[in-house]
Amino acid sequence: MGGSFLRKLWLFGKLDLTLLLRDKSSLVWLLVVPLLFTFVFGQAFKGGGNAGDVKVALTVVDQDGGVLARRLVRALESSGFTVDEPALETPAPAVQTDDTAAANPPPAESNPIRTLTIPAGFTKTVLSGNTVDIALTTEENANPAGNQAATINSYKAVIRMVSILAEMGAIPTETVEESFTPAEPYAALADEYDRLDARPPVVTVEVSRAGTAREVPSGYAQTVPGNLVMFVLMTVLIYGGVTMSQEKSKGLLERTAVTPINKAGIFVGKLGGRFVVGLAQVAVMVIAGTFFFKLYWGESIAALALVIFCYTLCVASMGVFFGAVVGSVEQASGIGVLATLIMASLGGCWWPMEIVPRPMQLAGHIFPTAWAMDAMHKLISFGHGLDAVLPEVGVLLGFTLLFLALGSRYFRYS
Amino acid sequence: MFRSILLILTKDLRRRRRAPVGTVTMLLMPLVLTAVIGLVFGGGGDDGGAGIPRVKLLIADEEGGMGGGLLSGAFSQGELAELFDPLPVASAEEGRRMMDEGEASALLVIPANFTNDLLDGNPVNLQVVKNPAQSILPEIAVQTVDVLALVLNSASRLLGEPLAEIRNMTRQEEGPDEAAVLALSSVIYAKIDTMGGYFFPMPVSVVSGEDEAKETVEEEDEKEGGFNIFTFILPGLAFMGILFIGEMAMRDVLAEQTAGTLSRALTTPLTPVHFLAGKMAQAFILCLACQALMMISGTLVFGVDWGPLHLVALFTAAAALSVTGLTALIFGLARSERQGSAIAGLLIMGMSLLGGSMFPLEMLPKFLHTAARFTLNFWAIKGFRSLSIEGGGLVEIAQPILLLTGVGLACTALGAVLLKRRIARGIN
Repeated sequence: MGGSFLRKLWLFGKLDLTLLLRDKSSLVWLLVVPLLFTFVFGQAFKGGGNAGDVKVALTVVDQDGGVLARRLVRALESSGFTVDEPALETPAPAVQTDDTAAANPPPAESNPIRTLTIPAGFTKTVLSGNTVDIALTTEENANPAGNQAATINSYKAVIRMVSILAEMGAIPTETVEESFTPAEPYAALADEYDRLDARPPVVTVEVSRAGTAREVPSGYAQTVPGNLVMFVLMTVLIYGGVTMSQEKSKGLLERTAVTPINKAGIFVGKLGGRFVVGLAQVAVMVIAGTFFFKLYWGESIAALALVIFCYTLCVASMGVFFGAVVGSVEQASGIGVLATLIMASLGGCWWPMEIVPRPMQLAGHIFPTAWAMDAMHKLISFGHGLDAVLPEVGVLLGFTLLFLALGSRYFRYS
Repeated sequence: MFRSILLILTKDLRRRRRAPVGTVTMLLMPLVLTAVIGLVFGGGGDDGGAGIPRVKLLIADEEGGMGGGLLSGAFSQGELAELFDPLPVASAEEGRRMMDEGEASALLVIPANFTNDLLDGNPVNLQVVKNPAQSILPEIAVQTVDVLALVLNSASRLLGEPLAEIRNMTRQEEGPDEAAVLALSSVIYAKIDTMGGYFFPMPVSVVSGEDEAKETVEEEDEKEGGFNIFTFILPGLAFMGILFIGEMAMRDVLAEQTAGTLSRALTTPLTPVHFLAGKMAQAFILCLACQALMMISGTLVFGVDWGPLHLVALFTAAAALSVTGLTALIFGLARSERQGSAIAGLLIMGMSLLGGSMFPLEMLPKFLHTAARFTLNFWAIKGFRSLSIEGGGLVEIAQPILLLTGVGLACTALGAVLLKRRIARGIN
């Protein structure tokens, strides 16, 4: 009995897979489009807003060259920037007013992505208690995460400098004034600043990650699982819907009814076919994820396999139900694409769920995609094991039973 | 000739009206996706501005003293209160357990003896535990704690001495000497006064080029009733939609050949040129009509302002022509209906990903920006955004119009030649 059941599953699965692989246009959607999506989405979200993790290139145009300007550049370097300082065309004037300095453009020959301009007269202006602006300009198409990191790190460098100055402000004012002597401009100030700056900070911040994963999740930790979940759904829904509509309209399903296989057997076979097609899509994404996108899949491969198995089974049951209710090839294809895009976007396959408003996060969990993504994040990002994903596995199996019940209710030969 | 073309055109449009699911789905797709993306990135719900949800921050204050209270309280004050949703936890262990369950974006651990160490100038280590499944919100927490640490460093160094003095005084059994308290107060006042001169306002401000541009845009938006995120999203997705509609329409040429209806049609006085012209007209009109429907829906449902009507109509025609031309060329080159469909699908998805239909181009690395300029989506979005967001006129959209029209005409001509040859070959 069990052997016969599995044999039916395998026969239908093999048939569906053969038909899928024979169709070259399906191969494009099975192989090329998912990888293209993963690559481009991965590139788009790889910064992910991790301002602190982004090593940002910054061109600093120091038009001042004074004591404080040089120390600000040093603070920027220690804030995580890759600082590039182009040579100025003309030497910076020793002292210049704030307004004139701001009008000086950066060197014309360079085309940097982000430029921080420290105006001439910067040191003198700050030390005389006046305010000065340092201009951070970014190229039109510069990466937003990089721009964000540049702004934050620039502010941190400024706060660090101002803090030291404030501390030095506690020294009697005459000492600072003395250092303004033209013979040795700011020498005393520079020495004192460097002494204070060299001290180790009192308050340090240590950053770590939750979970037990051995490796830091890469930018593809979101896009590979996200596209796996989306394209398994898309392939199975569209393929499942289109083939079943064709079989119904051409009378192929009715023809199957004259074989010794009963209706339940055919239903199970259809489920098996969609399951095998889904697994083929999983295989493509897992292979590409491992070898091309170098994704770390977490600590428990068995748990991951179980999650993927349950999700694919859930999608297969959805595919059978979908095939049973759609009326035409056109409907199957159109509604299949639309349903997939909605479930994928709301289920957290396109972007991290964290940036989605909470009501939308809750709404997303009416779809299996959100549960599959939750389980994948637990395994890949947190490095958890099987016990952590049992609730998600349970929900996916619940969805499977629901769609199987609905599918068997509406399954017809024609 | 025109009568024959009109006959083919009306026959195809009637057929589409009878079986509208495919066309309606392609029409719905951009609108539904716009709604979803707009709801996700447009803010709302429990969010703390900028459309990003508040950062759920667990705070384990292992000291429970004044310093720890001030630090954890900072997350409920002023601008930080809009960004953070702080939640005190009993211990660091409890916080870590919750973080392992993914219940928050970050955990801040304030160590035991925090205040005393800070006042004594002893090293203090604040710990931040990030949620590894998130990327943006934990980073906001880390950067904020980093800045607070810098401020605490200054405070510790500037005020540490007098504050430690106060602490020593309060420990004295006989109570502090009045004169000493007065002297200390004046020292603290002087220090705070000096600090104030440096921090309020800070002598150095970072002015980003973006800030000025943003202010101007925000002022203009305010005048016009606020920025509408849907105006930003819909043009790109709508163009992706009409690319799919164009593909569906031009696929008809090969579908009719496969089904044998083309051969049957050509036994009548209809020539291949009439047939092709009819099909291309159908694709063009369908694209035009669908784009118009999406625009009307966008205005009615999402309040999108597309810009001056005559320019929008002109630009839409150029965009529809480019889609007709491209799809004609694809099916002219394809060996079969399936192959054409596969290539078209791949090309449309690729162009939409790279050209800015799915997310802003700035999110992609620089090397992909050059590739983006070779996509129709890039130029279509540029034109539509110029009219709807930037208030551009004919001069501003001249380049995209010329490019789309040029590509459209060239591809239509080439596609027509290839398809005509294919039809002739098919009949022979």
